[in-house]
Amino acid sequence: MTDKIRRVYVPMTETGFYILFCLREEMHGYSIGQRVREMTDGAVIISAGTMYGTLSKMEKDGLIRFVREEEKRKLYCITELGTEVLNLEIERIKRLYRNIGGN
Amino acid sequence: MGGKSKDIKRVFKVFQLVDYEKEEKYLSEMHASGWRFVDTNGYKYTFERCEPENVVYRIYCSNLKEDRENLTTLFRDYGWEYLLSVQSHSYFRRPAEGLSAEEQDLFSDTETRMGIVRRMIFAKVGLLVFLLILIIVPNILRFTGIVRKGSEGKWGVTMLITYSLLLLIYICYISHAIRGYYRLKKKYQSTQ
Repeated sequence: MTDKIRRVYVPMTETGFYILFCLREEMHGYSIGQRVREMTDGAVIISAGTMYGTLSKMEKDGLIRFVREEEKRKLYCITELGTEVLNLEIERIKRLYRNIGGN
Repeated sequence: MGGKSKDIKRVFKVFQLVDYEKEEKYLSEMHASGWRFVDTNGYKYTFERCEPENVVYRIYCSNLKEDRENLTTLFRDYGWEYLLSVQSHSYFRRPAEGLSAEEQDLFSDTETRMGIVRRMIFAKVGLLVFLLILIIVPNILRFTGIVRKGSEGKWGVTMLITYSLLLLIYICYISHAIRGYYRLKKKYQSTQ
């Protein structure tokens, strides 16, 4: 992982985190948005422009990759680099949680 | 034909890139007063008569090389009607009725929104600065030299004035864009 990736993605925004987290299985933009809404009981809403912009940026930076197209919708999936970043984030959030008295 | 032209309205109007929110607002207001946006080429807007309705208009600026079909499909999934694209700008709309503020917005975070604004403004400003350095500044220097020598008379003076005016227009335009950028930045960063 380069310094640039680390600087840009660690720590990550909630939007970025959930997108990456969802892409452990292949999905397209709109379905990611739906999934995140369900997972967070509507607390995290990712709008169309934010979704498109984030996916484009993550693809460019190599965190996710384009898998295939289904009815003109691009399906993406996390890459090795993306998994590395995601795991760093998960560790960071766990530590945060422990330090505020969670288990 | 006469009847038909009454239902079509053409308006000449120029919006600077940094004023894209004004453009969105203008299109909404037109729709609310019974004129649906049909087409634009960047300075001429065409509207057709419709039932007045409260509709949200949004402009998204994408990289030209990005896959537009993929962009418009994703936006459609979210409920946006894709209208048309002029260069890197894509126009979308959806009825505002019953939509939350979040659903009326294209962005749910400041970071992505600022990324797009930056791209939109600096792509254009970059080109202008390039032309300024490559064409206008050398010509001003050249014609200043000619006028000093007094060899070309009126022609040299005319050209010098022309290029100086161009320089002035460029500087106004570029500073408007940069000021607009900081105004938007301040606005977006204070709302979240």
